[in-house]
Amino acid sequence: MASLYRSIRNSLWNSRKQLLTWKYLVQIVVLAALYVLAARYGLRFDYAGGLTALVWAQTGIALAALILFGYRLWPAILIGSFLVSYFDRDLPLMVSVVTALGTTSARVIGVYFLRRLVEFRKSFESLRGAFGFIFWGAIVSTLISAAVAVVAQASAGVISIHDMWSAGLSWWLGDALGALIIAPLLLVIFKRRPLPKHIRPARIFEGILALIVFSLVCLLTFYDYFGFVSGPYARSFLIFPFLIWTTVRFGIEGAVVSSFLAATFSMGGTASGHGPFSVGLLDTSFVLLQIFMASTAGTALILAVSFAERRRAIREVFEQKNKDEALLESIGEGVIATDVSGDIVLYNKAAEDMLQIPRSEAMGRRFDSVLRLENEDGAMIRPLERPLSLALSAGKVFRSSTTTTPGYYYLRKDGSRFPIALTVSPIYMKDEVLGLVNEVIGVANVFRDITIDKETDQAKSEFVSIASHQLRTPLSTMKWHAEILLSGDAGAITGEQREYIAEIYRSTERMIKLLGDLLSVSRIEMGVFPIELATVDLVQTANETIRDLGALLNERGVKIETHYAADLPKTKTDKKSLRIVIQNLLTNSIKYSPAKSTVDLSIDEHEGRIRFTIADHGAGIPAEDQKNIFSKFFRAENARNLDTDGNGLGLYIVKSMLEHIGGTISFASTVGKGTTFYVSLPKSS
Amino acid sequence: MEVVQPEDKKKKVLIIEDESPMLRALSDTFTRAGFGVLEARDGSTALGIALNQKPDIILLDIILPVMDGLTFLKKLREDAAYGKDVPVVLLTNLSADREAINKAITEGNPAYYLVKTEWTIRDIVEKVKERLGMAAA
Repeated sequence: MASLYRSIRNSLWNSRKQLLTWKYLVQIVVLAALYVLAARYGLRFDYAGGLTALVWAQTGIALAALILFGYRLWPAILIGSFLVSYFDRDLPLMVSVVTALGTTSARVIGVYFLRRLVEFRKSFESLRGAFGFIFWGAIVSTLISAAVAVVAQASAGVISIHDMWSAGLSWWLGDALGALIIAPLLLVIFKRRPLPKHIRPARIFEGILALIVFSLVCLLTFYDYFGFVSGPYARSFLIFPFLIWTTVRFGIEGAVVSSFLAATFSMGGTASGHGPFSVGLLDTSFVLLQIFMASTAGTALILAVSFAERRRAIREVFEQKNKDEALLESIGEGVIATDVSGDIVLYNKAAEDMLQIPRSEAMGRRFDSVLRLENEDGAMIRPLERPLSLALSAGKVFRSSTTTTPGYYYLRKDGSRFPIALTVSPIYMKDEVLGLVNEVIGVANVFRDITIDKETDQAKSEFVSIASHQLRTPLSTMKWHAEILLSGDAGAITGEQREYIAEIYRSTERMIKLLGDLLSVSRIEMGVFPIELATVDLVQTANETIRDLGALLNERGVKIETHYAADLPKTKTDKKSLRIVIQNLLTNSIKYSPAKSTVDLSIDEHEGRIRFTIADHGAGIPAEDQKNIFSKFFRAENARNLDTDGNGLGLYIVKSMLEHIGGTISFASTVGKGTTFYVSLPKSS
Repeated sequence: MEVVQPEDKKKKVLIIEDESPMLRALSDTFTRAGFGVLEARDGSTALGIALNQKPDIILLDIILPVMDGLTFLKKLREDAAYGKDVPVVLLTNLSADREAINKAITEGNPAYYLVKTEWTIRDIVEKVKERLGMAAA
């Protein structure tokens, strides 16, 4: 209530400032005048003589004015209400003042709660708003004002305590009907709406027809036209089909106009002794009539708003659907979706363009009768092995990209083929209402023509190859000529000359190693490093690698001890990558080991994978450098001192290559004690 | 390591290499090791020499003018009398990771595939001797 107080205080404060403007004064005068005129018109229907009308139109005017123009118009209600009470109803001054104050605050309170609790904003947008309006505007606000007025009149002795109940009821009913019939009408009339760009003539015709037919129905119902006789009540139901017609077809506008027409005709008819309500005592007739009007207006209002809400929801769904479809349609990727039985339910423009199969020939047909999928060698993929089938049957997600080997191809309508990057994923639907939880309801098949990507990759890989050849030619020439000089075949050389030439030879070797490593790195990073999976004999591969390291082992005086587990499984991997990995790790171990020490190489099975363990008793990796050793060009502090020739690429290459064949690497190291590397490989890469 | 042998007993090696400095290094070394050396700088000339002089072993570069090494190897293997079985050592700076090279290796059946930068000349000579069944020097 503190906030109510604050907002009223603010509005009073604002009103005080705005009192000064002419515009505001005019608004107050006009609204007060309208209020009085409406009340006088309403009092003409005071057949009961109790100074209450059937419909207090001014109540609706007051509510609509506060909703549309703000609380600041409250003085008009105060003035209007006072004038009506004092002059038209001849109530005593004090009673008139209290009634006016009660009425004004009741309207302000009604609108406050309507805005605050229902978030009602000037028009009927939601069912919540409509119910809120009926409750706060038509029921609560009018109950307060009716109660205040009746209590004031009873206290002043204008009415007897005995009559309080019936006087209060008719006062309240009149107010409530005014709120229910007149306020929505005014809100609709004053609603700001964009001008329709184009109204179809048929709709204008229907509108006029509805107006005429509804009026005719009202005439025959309430004025006994076309030979109808007075009573019975049931006849009043006649207007409902027509009320529903106008409401459903013309929304809130149709509803408020129909309610207004029904109210006007029924009051007029009943007052002139016609229609279903002109039976028995006049008092009873009027109460029945009021109940009829209230239910008509309330029903029309709720019906109109719920239909508007429904229409809006449908429109939103359609807009979203159109948006989604437009998005899928204009996307550059081919998108094909199937239902759970593999029939194509979505086939976009890009798919049509790439496959050159018209949509009409694809929609509704099974995917394998439309999409022909081949592998690199031109062999058709068997229906059950197709990614889409696997997604449907096992919920498997499939991805192939430009570097996937072997690649996949789609066949166009004419039988020609193009390479694709393909993603196939099951579409899951979670429907708590139907009780389906993560049920596969179809498959999304997204693809892209990668002809250009393949050509680019090819060009890149050619470039690397040619560049490597061009760089190696002078290097091998230098190496060989230095070798010939060192061998003495070209004549004796002095000891000092030998040292110089040896330095040239060594630097050339270093350059060759660096070039090889750089080429490996660029191949890996460009994704053109060829991987050939084959069954590899691990022991044989390890032994070959060790044999190649013979010269280095001799030079350093280091021994390799091997520990191979018996019955090592045949492993499917890329032999060349594996050799490079083992060779790099062993080379490192040998280079950083003291003379006469041993390096241990073990191969065993560990947690379902193949494990290589390479352990040395060498320098170890300083703790602060451990996190960086797999970084490109990084070299640990002590490594740089021990071996000036290293380039910092070895472990980076090892890690990258392992990633390519599904392997991982880890290590444990203590400075001065040694380092152990663990390489883990899947049994099938 | 100069080894002198009578001309007719010398094993003949054909070195096919378009880079002069490399050809010279190889040629000088093989001569000193006691081989009879034949030289060619392109594949087409090399094919003529090979079929005429029938060297005991051929060192073959891949990137060559006129006719490249892989084509040379293919044509050589087509010769049933001599070319089909003569040992060929591919001596190149191309990595054996390209499809065309892999295919040629499978079909051309070379004795060795050696990447120049990875081998010393001495080791190349050893490999050749090994293949020809000669005692190590």
